[in-house]
Amino acid sequence: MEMTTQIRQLPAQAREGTGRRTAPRRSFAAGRTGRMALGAGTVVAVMAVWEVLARSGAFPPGSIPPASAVLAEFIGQLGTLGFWEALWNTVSVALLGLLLIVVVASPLALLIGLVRPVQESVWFVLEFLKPIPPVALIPLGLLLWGPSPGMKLFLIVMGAIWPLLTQLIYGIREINGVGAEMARSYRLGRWLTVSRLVVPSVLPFALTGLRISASIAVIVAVVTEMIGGAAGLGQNIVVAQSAGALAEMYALILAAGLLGLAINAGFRGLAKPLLFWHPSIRQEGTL
Amino acid sequence: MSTFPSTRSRGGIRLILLRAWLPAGLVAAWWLASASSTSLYFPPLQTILETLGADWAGPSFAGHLLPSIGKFLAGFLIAAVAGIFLGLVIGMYPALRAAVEPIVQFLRSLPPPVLLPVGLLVFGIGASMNIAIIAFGAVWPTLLNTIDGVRSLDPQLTEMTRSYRLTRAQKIRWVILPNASPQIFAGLRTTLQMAIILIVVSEMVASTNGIGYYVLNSQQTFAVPQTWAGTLVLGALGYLANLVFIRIEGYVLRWQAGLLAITGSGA
Repeated sequence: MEMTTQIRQLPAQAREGTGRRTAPRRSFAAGRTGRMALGAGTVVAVMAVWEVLARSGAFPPGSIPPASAVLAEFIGQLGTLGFWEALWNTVSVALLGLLLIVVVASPLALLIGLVRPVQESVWFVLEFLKPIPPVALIPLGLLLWGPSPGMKLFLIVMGAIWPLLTQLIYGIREINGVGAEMARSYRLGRWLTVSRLVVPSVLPFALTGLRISASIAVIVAVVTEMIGGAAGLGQNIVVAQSAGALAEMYALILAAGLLGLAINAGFRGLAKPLLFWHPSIRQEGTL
Repeated sequence: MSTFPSTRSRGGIRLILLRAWLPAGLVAAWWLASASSTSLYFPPLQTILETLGADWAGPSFAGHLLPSIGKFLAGFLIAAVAGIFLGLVIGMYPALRAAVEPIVQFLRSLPPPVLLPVGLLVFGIGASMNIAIIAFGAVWPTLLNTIDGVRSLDPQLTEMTRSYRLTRAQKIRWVILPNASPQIFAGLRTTLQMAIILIVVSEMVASTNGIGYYVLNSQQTFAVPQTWAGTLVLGALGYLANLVFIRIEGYVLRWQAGLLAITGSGA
């Protein structure tokens, strides 16, 4: 103990020679605007290189249009009804699928996490179903139901439920034993136990699981649209490609990426108020 | 919620039975329920398994399974090596990290299958397209986790490497990589799952062989038992790939289990 405190205090004088090393760290943490400027600069630079390469014919012919054309098309797409309809088709089914996943996974996780025999019984089935690629069922789904929203929903639930379910089970089993006994000796009652012990223990796991489930849900939705021909962003991308409307295709891909970014940002926004007490949020720095 | 019984005093056989009854029961139920099925879409399990044996032990093994595995391994390895290498470089230089962050965040948020049309345009139909899609679409989890793992290095350790005058290569090999490896493996696991998704999807869209091609083709020609059989093969493949990965992870990180037992804390 003594040793570590000493080492921790030493740096002030001992680090003189290493100032160069520590300085960037501090300015890095402090210089948020500097970081953003660097990032924005790279984005502009990449766009410029892309533009030049496309115009000079460095890419295979008919594969990648100039950045400016894609950006213009993207802005144009924002003004069309078809784009928003397609986006809504993709997002709404993914969201509905997520909702269903939460509704199905929560009681299942409680049952599996708390009842030992159930946990052992479903162990193999879960371990077998988890790593199955979520897109493997698409042909089967197409065969059985055709390219309908119901098929999309089913495939999303089947493909994206596992991360949330596993994380919830981990979370429930992670509930601190001492905490649980403490709650009992203090006779906290069901409501207080759940709100003060169970929810805070499970919440970080639930959010992680839900975030992974969400990204898989979007992937499955897009793939069913691309391959199965259900309406949505994926279908529009394929249609644009086969029509040779390259700028539109890339604009839609850009939109898909921004959708993914928005989802990630949404979860980060959700985590801040919900997990403000959790170490991962309290010391969250960058990236 | 108060009881979390330990597994220690549990009979091995009882545990096996407890774990086996449900899967065995499900398969039996499927077998019995579908035995006399005349539905076009739900053929008897027996028919499916016969198709599976006839097809996948025979022509499809060399024609579809091996190409799929080869492309998958190539794509996964490229993604893994590129992710770890780039992650190391980006993680070690804060300025570089700040510069590439928006682009990396955008690319990793992109649902990888939307890159399929781009792959088609650039590479055409074939193995190189499948491999490129896997490598480019699945690299991000490993890249991001490697960056995080490199950044999580304790400043004291950095100073230690300076006092010992470790060369850059030594520092990477003996300090940075071991410190980051648990996180790298967590990323690799996600990369693996992505790679499996992408090999299937890319073969569905742009290939003339492989399991993905086989399954979608049999669906489109209404070869129903083949569709079911191919789906089972895909499931088994995903399961096996995960199993092999966990083995390798356990082997590479075997030093860590001991360390955790000693220090009693996560890395």
